[in-house]
Amino acid sequence: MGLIVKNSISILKTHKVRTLLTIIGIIIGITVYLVANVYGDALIYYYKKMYEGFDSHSILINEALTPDQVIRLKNFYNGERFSYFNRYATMELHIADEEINFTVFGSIIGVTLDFHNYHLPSLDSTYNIEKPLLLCGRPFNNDDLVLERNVTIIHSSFAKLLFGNSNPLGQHITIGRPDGPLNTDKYMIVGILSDTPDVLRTIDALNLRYSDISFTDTPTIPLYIPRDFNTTNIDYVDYFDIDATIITFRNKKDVSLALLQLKHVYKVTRAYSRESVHNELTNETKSIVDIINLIVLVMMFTSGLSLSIILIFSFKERLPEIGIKKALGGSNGDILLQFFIENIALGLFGAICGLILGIFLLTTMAPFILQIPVSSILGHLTWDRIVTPLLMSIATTTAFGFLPALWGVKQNIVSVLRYE
Amino acid sequence: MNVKVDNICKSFKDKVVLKNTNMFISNASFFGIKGSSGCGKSTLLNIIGLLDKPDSGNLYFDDIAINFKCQSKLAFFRGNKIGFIFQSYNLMPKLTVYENIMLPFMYLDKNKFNSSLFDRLIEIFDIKELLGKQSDVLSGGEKQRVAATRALITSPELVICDEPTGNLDSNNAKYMMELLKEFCKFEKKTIIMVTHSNEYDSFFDDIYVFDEVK
Repeated sequence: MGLIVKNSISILKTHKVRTLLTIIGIIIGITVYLVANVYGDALIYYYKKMYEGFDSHSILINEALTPDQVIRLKNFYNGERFSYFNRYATMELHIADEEINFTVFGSIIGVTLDFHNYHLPSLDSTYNIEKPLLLCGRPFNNDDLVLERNVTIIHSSFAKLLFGNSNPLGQHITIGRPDGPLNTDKYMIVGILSDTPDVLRTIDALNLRYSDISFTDTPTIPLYIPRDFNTTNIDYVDYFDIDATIITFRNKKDVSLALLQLKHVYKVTRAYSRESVHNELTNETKSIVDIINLIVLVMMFTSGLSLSIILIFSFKERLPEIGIKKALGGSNGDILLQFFIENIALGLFGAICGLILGIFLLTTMAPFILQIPVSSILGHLTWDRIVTPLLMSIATTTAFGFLPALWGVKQNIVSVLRYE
Repeated sequence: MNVKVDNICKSFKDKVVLKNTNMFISNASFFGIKGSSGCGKSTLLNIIGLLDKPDSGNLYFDDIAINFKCQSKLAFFRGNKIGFIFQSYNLMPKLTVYENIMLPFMYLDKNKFNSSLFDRLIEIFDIKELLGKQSDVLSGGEKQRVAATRALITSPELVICDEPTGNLDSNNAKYMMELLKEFCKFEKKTIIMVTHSNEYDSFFDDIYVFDEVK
């Protein structure tokens, strides 16, 4: 056996081009497989960790804008600055009787561009509403929508910034940017919501105070209040926020029920529990990895096929070798074994190179894509992630090398000895 | 090993190459088979060497009939009992001389390797200096000596030579004949050689001359 292995290796060295071409194909396939799968595993883990802080009893709603809402938004801004808006609309909620109603409106806080009402029937005493709470005033109602009233609801911090200790309800604001109002429409404040963490962060980051907010501070200022601000002269508020409503239920099973209702009854496209967020991201990642694996499979198949073709062509030049070995006492099985060993060596060597290259890429480049630590990535480099490509590679080369080898050994010895 | 060819026939498509060929080659003889090109001498040699099978007739080695149907037994027989020296050398070009000589042991019991025979053959064929060289850089004469060493290293009972001097100059050819004769005489092995030359008739113990089959 030792001599056969040695002979196989020296034959692989002899047919350098064939060996190299096959190995390159295998290396690419194995590298892509390893990087995609290990990075995919790390990514899924990363997502899981990311959403660990999100209570498992909660629903996160991030509703995508409907086409109709997009048109309304565009019209509102006369086609300008729409790019500043995230495609997600804010979803707020209010309580009506014994139901939870979700009101979706445009991404400018408090401006009733459009809204839809969803409700979760009679889950009373099963939920806590975390944000935002309607502190005073009223929520939006159907008349607001039907009559297209210019009414708005704003967060309490903005109310305080804009109106100090005065009652903000019934006051009017205009929507715009630091370089001027976008239109002259005035919106009447009908309700005040509790602050969301985003709002508080924004105010804190900008260190907004009544007196020193400049008209030209920065175009990214989410809130603009003119220098000559006073409570009776409010020009406009500019506020871009991607907000999400989180409802926390006391029983975990209610999360599933609420999700089911939101998704299937009301066709809310983006309502998540922690599990569903994680599952969706996991599934998306898995789908990508599956597609990559499919590509790898095709690559391996192509590589195997080219190995077959190369082997068939190179067999003509290897026929004398087969003839000599047969003349020296090699049986068909012996010759097949030799080709089998050659193909295993090819597959093994290609796979090892591919694995080394894959690990190199995982430790050098992959961490920079999503800032996942190397140790976390390598933690997902499990035995099955190493053994599978090894077996896959060996199976490819042996499977595709078998038929040409069988064809070769079936040749008449006398005729193959005459090839030289 | 004595060899008996009994009424062997062989045709290729419509052409009859061997028709009821009979011969007996006694043990430890240097046997020559002669005939013009295409008369069937190489075909007969291939059948005796178990590289090809007859359409009909029997082949006996030491009075034991050969079963041409069992490929694994034929391979075993070729490896253990028969050595081949081909006109075109049939060395593995990218292997070294040593690796070429050791090739038969890929399929044989390693205990069969006889280091003293190896040393003697190396000396007889004068290839000690060539052992580390790749075989495709050798001259024709050197290649043939390596091929002969490879054929004899397993100490086969029967050595089949298909015009081994065909590609050699007269000096090398004569030298090869002398070496084979010596091996036959001292090792008591049977050597069957196909040739179309009359030049080496004196080396043979017996000669079979082919009548061309029409």
